[in-house]
Amino acid sequence: MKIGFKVAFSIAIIIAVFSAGLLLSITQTRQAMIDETGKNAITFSRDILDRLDQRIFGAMNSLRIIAVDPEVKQLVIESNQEFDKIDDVDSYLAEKGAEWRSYAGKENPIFNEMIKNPLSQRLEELRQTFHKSSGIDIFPEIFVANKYGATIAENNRLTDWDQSHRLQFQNTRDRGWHVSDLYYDKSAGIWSLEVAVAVEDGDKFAGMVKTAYNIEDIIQVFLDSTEQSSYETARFAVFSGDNLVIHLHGTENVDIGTDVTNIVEFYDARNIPEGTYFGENPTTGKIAITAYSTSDGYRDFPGLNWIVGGTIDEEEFLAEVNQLQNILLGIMAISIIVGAGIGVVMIRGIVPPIRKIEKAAKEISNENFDEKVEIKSKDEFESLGKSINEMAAKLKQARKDKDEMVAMLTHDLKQPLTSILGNCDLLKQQLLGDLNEDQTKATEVINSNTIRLRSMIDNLITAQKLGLGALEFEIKKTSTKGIMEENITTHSPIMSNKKIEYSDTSTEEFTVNTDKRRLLETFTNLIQNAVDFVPEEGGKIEIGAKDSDKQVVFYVKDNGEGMPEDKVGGLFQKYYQVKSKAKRKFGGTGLGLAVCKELVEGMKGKIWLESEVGKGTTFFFSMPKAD
Amino acid sequence: MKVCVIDDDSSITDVFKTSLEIAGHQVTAENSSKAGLELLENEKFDVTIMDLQMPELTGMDIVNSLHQSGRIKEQKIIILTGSDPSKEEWGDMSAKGVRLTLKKPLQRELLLQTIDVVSKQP
Repeated sequence: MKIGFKVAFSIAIIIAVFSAGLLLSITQTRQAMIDETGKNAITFSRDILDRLDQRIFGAMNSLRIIAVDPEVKQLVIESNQEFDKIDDVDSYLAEKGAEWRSYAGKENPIFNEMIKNPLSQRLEELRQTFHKSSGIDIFPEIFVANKYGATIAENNRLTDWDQSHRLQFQNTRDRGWHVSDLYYDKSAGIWSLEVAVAVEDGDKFAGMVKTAYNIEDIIQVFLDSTEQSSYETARFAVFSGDNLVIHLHGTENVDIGTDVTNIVEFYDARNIPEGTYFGENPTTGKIAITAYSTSDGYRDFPGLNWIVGGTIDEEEFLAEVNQLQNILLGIMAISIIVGAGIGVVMIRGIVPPIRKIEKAAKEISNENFDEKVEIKSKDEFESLGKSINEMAAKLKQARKDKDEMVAMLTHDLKQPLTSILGNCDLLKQQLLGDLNEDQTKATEVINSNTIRLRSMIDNLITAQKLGLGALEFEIKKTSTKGIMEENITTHSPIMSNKKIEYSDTSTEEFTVNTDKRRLLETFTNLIQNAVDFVPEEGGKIEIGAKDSDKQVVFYVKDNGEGMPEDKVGGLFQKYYQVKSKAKRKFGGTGLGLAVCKELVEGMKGKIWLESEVGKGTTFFFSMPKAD
Repeated sequence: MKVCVIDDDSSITDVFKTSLEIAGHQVTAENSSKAGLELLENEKFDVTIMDLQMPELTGMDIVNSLHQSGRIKEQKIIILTGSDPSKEEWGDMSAKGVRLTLKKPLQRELLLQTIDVVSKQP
């Protein structure tokens, strides 16, 4: 399943990377939207503030028109000249001021006179003129004070006669103009804003012209703008320099003049002139973007210390992005499902055929060539399966060919051997005439080598049978005495020929469960090996059987050159040969020991050896004792 | 004894003939399996040595034929073979009346002993 896991893992990684990419793009888009909206809100606020500042500046300009009117100027200067004659102006102001106040709530004769005097008339004239030409009511109410702070003209509203101690007078006197912040005019009953400018005589302060506006008029500018806002959840507000609500446009109704110092939204506004904040709105509890801006003045008017700000709920201004986010999440989910589906299909298409091929390959390596791979997927796997089937068929055929060849070969080889051996026997036994010593030797050599050749062929046949699993053992109770006797008889001729001392050194007789033929075959192989390893002079081979508890251990011992330990390990493998330093060449097909091992183990025995370089080798193999 | 040797390989029949004649037997050798069958049908021998792998008629063909005709009981057949017969094959041969099998190549002593033993069988 490792391939399946790899495929699934790869697909998962691809989807993860893709999803991460999507998420990143969503996040960035969102942030861009927030930043953009914030900027827009600030721009909007700034725009309103600019207009407010301009409005105030416009008002100041209007007052200047009045302040520079020659007639107004003349009348104010005349008033100043009269007051110049007074010794103690302060006392006069205080006296007259007290008198003015004494008329509170009643008819005020000073006021009645003031509104009709030439200056007041002139003011009214100017107002009419202005109204005719521009259509604008230049001032709802107006006051004029002289340079000492005494009110000398007004149009309709009672005001404090002594202006000298008032901030607007002092500001006007000191710097030429005044704009107040939002305040509540008790006498008029409205939230107002005052604007005053100086009357100048040359470069000297001569008096003050003052007006007060209803705040509603001022913020009309603001209201006009916000009508244009396209956001439904947007709430906009204007706050005065003292943190009083001037206007709040939105879902709540908050009265003008409400102190909002503690509202967190604009807490930073007094420190940082402009800003945005994205997060939970403490008032509504919703996530929103809040942006504000503060007034920065207009021309020589340094500006009101007002804040304009707005807040829009995230739900609304991020609606599109959130929608996009949902779409992308949907795509992600679908792609995960599709990816998983593809993964499953791929795994289904890959793993089973691979398993089938794996199984077939295993069967083939276990020499089972009949297992057929059935894959019908119409892809590379199908052709691979077919190739494997072809390969198996070819292997099967190759083995069959080999078996046939071996059978044929071994059979055919025996024909010539039969007549060689037959004739050799006749010669050897001097049945075809006497032989001299040399001739006898020669026939002996022919004879022993023919026997040699025969056992090589027998080994080949046995090995072939073992390979096919076709060798059957006939296990019977067998006496070791008979076996040993036959071993001596069979091999004595060659031993005497080669002058090798050959003996059976068994001390006891036993009965074992074995296949006699195969046991003798084993002995023949080992004895023939020993013959090749013993020295030319003084060679000695001992065979025998000894007791070993429930087994009988047979041995073949030679006094040959021995074998080093590192060569011993592979000895029983097919085709393995130990290189001999002896002059005698080591023949053989290399099958002998491998065949011995399989025969012995097939008869429930074990085979092993002990060897010492320079001393000799002893081969041991065990057979179970018969009861 | 009268011994019949049937093998398509003449060098084998020659060496057996020489070998057995030296031992005092009377030997008739035949290289053609067809002629060999005829021989066995018409003449009586004490022992017959016969090869399996022969062209035209194989050793088994001859055995089957003799078995059918019943002659097999009289002609004591020893099969001489270069192949290694399996248990089943030997079982079949034995059932059809073959006395013994010998494997090629073999030594003279074994051949003589076997002939002796088989001839003494009923």
